[in-house]
Amino acid sequence: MKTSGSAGDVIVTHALGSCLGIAVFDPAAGAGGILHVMLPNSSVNPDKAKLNPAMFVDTGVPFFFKKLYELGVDKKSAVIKVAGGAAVGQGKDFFAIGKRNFGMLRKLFWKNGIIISGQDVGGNIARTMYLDVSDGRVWLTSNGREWDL
Amino acid sequence: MIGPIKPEDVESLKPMPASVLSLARVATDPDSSLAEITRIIELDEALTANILKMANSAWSSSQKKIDTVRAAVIRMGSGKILRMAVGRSIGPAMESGLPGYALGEHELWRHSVAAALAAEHMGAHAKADIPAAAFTAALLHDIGKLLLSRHINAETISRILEMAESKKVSYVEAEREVVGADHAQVGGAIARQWKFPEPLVRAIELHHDPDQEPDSLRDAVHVANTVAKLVGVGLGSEQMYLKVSDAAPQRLGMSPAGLEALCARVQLELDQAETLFMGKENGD
Repeated sequence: MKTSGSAGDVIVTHALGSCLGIAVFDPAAGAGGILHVMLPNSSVNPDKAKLNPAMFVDTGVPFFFKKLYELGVDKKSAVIKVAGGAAVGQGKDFFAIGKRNFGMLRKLFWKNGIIISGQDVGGNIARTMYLDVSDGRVWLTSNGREWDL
Repeated sequence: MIGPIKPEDVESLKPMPASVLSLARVATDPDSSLAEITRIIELDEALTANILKMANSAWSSSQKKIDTVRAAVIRMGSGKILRMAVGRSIGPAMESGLPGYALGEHELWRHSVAAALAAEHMGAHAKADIPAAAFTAALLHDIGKLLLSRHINAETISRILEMAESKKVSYVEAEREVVGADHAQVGGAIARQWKFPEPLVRAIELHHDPDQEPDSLRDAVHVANTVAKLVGVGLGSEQMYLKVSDAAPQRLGMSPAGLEALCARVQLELDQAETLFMGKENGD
């Protein structure tokens, strides 16, 4: 997890497979960040979640937003983009952690009235996610391809 | 297309120290004795130095100075020593980057350590007994990539990925079509030539196909590799185009929640494990 309020910073998170990258930027505050979460639910290991809340969607998202609020971010004006959550091959259920991650995130956002304004989720690709803190541009790369989100 | 793997191809790989071959053998043999393990380690000077250093480091929480391999094995347990010895002697051969798999320096090694760690802790999240050999097999499951990487360039990777995407097949299946061999087959051929025990060879060969001939070692290695990918370690060009078996974790008596708990544990212990195996502990 990384947050910044300094124009000129570019935040990057690598190796988003089934993990989710959540980029938040508030143009009014000129601040934002990226959270990289790996698993949907901290209940699989509550002790580890205390040690490392950013690992799980359910504990990571509140932890992340708390840091963002400290930088002056307002959830009403924040622009939120999500990437990752890839499937493992054609596996149906057992290994579908990417799908469970995104399901948990949507549920959490819905409860809190947060709207996702851009997403690139699923498939089998690994993504790298970037956020330019100067202007809030979010872009992705994967195997030499690059596109804006 | 490349032909079948020839002995000279395997010989051209960075040689494995003799101790690795012996250790791989005892690590996969539940009847190996303390004397046997001690002797193999003592024959390798660098390994002996490493083991003694580890045994005397803060990590082993030993009060008394340990100055023999035998004392180290007794203090730390033969299982732990064996895992460390295998890891430490194999590590250097797996550290370099593999452009043929879009893996940077250390990435294959980190992936292998993550898989080995998953194998080590799998027992806590599975109803079936996980064989002790799973650690070594998981650590070595991708050795085929060391050799096959040389035959794969950026253009080949694009062709493999195009096929995986258009035909909805896994990377390993597309690799077999495009290159003429896949990294699991090649890994099995290498392991066979190195005279690794047959169960280890088969676990490497079938790490994407455990359903072909299921047994707990093959299932464990398959799940361990998948966990390493889920943790996001060593995705490379293969990314998440994996051939996965939902039946393998079920045969081992794992639940989806158990799988997630295992992922969390691997992620949290990975940095420490990597340090342990590479001899880069504090103060180095």
